[in-house]
Amino acid sequence: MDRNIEISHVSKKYKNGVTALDDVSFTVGSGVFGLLGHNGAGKTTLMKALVTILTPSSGTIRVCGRDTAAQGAEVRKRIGYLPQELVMYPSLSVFDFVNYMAGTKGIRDKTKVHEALKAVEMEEYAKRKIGQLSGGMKRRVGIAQALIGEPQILVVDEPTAGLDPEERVRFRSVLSRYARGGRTVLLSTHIVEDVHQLCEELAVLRRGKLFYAGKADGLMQRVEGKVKLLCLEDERQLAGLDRKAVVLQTTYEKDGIRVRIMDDGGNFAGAKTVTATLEDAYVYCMGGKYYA
Amino acid sequence: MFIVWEGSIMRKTGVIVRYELKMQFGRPAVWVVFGAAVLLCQLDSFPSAVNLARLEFLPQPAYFISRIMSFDVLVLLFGLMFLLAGRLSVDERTGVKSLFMAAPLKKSQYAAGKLVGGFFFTFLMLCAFLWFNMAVYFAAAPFSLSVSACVFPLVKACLVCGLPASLFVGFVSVALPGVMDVRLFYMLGAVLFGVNAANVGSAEAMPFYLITSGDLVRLIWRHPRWPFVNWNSVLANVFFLTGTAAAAAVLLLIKRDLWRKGS
Repeated sequence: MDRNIEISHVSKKYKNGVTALDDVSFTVGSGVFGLLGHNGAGKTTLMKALVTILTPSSGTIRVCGRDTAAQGAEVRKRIGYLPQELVMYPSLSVFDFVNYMAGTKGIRDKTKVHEALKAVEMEEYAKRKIGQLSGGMKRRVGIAQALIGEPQILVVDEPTAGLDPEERVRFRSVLSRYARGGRTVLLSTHIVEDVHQLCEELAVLRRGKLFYAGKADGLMQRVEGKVKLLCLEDERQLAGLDRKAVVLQTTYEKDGIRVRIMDDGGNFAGAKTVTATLEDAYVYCMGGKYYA
Repeated sequence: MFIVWEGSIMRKTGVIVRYELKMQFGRPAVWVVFGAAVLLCQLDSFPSAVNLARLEFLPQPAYFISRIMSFDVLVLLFGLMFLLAGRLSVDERTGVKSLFMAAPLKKSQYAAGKLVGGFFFTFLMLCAFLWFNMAVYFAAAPFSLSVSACVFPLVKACLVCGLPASLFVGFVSVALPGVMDVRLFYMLGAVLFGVNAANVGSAEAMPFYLITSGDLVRLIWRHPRWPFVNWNSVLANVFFLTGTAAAAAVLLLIKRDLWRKGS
């Protein structure tokens, strides 16, 4: 498989002493690759290092075989980037904004702009001012500017945060369509459902360290047989449960409380083993203190 | 497949300049400032009977243009200075800066686009102001005027005074808020324009730091009783305006955290 992105022993320590990334190594092939982690886990720092905005304190990142530190200009020609916080210029029209970004990439062909807008279903809003768009539409314009020039690598940081379900589905479809034909989409998110729907492979960052990298199935296998469903009668039984197991989900129903827990020691005799989901596995990664 | 990225320095800078102009001209605040300056100019220099009685040389187009350059243009440039001061911070606020930095764009191209955009915007606004007011003057004058008598001082004003003044305001307003606290910049700007407003024309050499009423204005029109030009003062005025603009641009370019490292 092509290794479009190779991240090797990357660390980033900021001047204020915060270590955002600590010896992170993994590789990314073609297709949609998920980067999961809590807020502050180091996802955005890693993305910024990948698109050459930030320089790692140590380690190397290679994009399409080019070193981001030594061959930054070459890397930038192959990357499309959608940052987490992108308000854009409210006074510009959708077409003007994407055309502006195309111009900064050296692309003057206006048909490319129309193609990018068409790919995100925004062509009919081309003349509308960005300030008049909904949050979902703005994200689509953001992705359109990243698609300009059909870059080999598309880096998208939290693209579906705050979007309604319909927009999220639309976004997923745009990203998975783009990833065909040997391209790579690196999707950073804390929404597990997006990764579950889109990615065969993923990496999980926790407090700047790589917790897991590999197939999504492999992560789920780690918790297979450990996820159990417990039916409780009242809240007194719930109290103190989190000291014995990782509580994944609590649902209050008319006849009691259903609690989804991670129990690998067989401590709960009455609990029923259920099929593990990627979300279970992710919570296991994030709340791994108990299981480490 | 990816496109082979091309584009000379000038081409990418040109794109930034073009959209800087488009965004600036689309701001309602710009036209409010323009309208206020025009209103002030017409109140002061409209060729009405009252103003003609008050201003001895108002029937001369060269005097008219020199007068509005000295006083009313200052109001326009002061307003534009405040409006241009956020041109770099707006990219940070809107997240567009990270798009520029992730694109195959150099720091020099980005900075040049912003600075040249600021300069052209200021210059075009200043020219529009001068030409519009001259058109009103020409149309309303109760005495006969030839077109050439109006156009010649107008072109002179745009080139001799307008260019260096626009370069100063455009570059300084874009660059300095990028290297210093914007509140300090506003304070310095207010002091400078206050000093400019307090200085009136004099037979003596004018201070070099005057933006629109320095000795450069004497190249448009001279008082018949003091028809001399102090060339040292003119040169000092030009040097101050262009030199400060260049210094502001250099300060911006050498600012380390303006751009990604190693670019």
